[in-house]
Amino acid sequence: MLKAIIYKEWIKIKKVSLFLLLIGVLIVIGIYSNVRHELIIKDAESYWNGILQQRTIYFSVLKFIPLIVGLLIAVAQFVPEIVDKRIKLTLHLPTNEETIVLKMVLFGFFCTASILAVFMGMFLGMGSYFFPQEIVWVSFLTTAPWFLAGVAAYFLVSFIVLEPLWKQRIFYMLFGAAFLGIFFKGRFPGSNEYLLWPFVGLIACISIATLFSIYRFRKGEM
Amino acid sequence: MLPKLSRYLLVFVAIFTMGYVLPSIYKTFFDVRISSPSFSYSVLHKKFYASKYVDGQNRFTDMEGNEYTREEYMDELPINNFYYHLGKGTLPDSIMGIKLNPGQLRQENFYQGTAAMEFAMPDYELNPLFESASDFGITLPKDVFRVKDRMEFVVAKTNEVDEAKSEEYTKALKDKGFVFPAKVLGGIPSFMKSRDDGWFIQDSNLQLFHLKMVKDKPEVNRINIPEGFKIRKIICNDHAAREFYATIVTEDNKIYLLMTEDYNIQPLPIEDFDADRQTMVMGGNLFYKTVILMDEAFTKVYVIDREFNKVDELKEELPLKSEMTIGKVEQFLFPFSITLNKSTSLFTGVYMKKYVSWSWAILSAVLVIVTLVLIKRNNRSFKNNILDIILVFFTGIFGFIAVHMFPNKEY
Repeated sequence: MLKAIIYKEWIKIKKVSLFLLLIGVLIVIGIYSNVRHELIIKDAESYWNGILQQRTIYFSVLKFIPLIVGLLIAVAQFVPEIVDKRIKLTLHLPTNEETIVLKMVLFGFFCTASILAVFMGMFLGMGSYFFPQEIVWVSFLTTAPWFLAGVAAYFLVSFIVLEPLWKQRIFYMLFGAAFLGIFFKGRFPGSNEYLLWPFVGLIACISIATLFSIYRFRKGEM
Repeated sequence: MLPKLSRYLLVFVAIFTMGYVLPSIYKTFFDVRISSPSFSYSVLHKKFYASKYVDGQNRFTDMEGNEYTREEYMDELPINNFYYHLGKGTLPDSIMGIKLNPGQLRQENFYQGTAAMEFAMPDYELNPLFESASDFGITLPKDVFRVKDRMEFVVAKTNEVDEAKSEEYTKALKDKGFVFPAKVLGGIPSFMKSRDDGWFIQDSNLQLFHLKMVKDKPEVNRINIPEGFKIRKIICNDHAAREFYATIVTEDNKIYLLMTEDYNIQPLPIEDFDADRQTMVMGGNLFYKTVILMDEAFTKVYVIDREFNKVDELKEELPLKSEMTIGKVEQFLFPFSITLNKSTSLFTGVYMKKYVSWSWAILSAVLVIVTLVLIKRNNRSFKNNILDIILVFFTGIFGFIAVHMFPNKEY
């Protein structure tokens, strides 16, 4: 059963996942091509001084990429399910419907997290070629909430797409926008050190939100 | 069971989000400006004067409530406003028997400020060591240093450690008794300064050292400090008078000056500094230093003479927002508020403010009644909604929105 679910979900998100992976990889390469260019045309110490003393963020372009990844994967995975209410078919399979939905979400989360992990790995790996560990560590602390926002966006969008009523969906979109906004509140490189675990906790809370939508769907909210 | 759990987790996240968003919207629309007066101490009259921005205009008073015009105010404070008097040709020849020399006044005049957030900010712990005896001004070095298990210089161009230089400086520090790693570092990492005095470094044995690069070679001096002198921050300066290298704030919130002449650690007679909450502004002239401590609740000014004795002090309470209409309405509307940023730290975090007043309970009670009416109207059982009702009472408007946004329907 798990294999069948994975196959079905992969068919839906394969194209978008590979496309997003490619775009993200190109963006990370683009960031460090720019760094390399700056280090060549400027004095390297001035460029470092900009980062260390003036707190320049050389990777701002990355800010909303993870969010877009989470959002698009959730849309690709769950919008086909609500067209003509196809999710009904899945929910009528002779097995526990909550388990099926959780497996679907788990697979989507796994794909989102894998793509984001590739970006983060590349970003930090290439960073350590150009910069010392202190700069790489602060870059990680600065970008980590952006990546967590991507995971949060995946869970939220899955939950919102599967919500049966448009009126509720609009409320949830407003709530989702406000919630995702908190992941972008850091105003200084490295300032999010103490907020990462609370973010992880909040994401854990919304990770099973889809069950709430499915419950309402199953009970006939239309 | 799981759908119910997922609903309560969503309600929890919604309460958290509302607790952040709604007070923030409220403040955006209704926040008021509290302008704290600027205080100056007159060398001429030995008393404080205040300049305050009221209704779009500057008002000048003394502490007895006498009002002054701007010109009178400038005349009462000739040293504080000596540029104005120099321009007008009205600078007195002497004050307190001391002849006033414009060059000396300029040199002795200084101003420095340190906000609480500078004590709580992320730090890369990589700094430049400038050439202190440069013949061609101050330029950025090709490397930055860290002081962990040894002193290491990382070259920017190659991102590699300069082993020879690292060895040389590590040895110079060890020869003077430095025990790695460093606990606190103080210096001016910018090249926008008039001179370079290197870095002051406290080691893991609480010893203090002064490190400079002089003609490409390390120069290390050990500074005698009291036993158990736990430094929190070393605030260096490049004041023209060169009276002191740095202002040192210790873990127990005492303020000291590290004197240039003999590395003496000079305590300042200030007892109630709180580095986590207050901004400290220090100014000085030929006659006195003033140290101003500012936080939300008050401004306190100390006047200190050249022998570091306290001459006078002043404390001015500021109006608290919690006692103004904006604060009272806020406490009525919200049982608590959450912020992610605060003015005293550059670290984000979940900063929760619980209000002292219980006035929010009135609105909570009303919202509980509305919730009960809605439950009854929808023919839902009270028993299944007890947790919702408790949540609405204790989290007020946040919980009310959350439990209704994620309806607890019984099918």
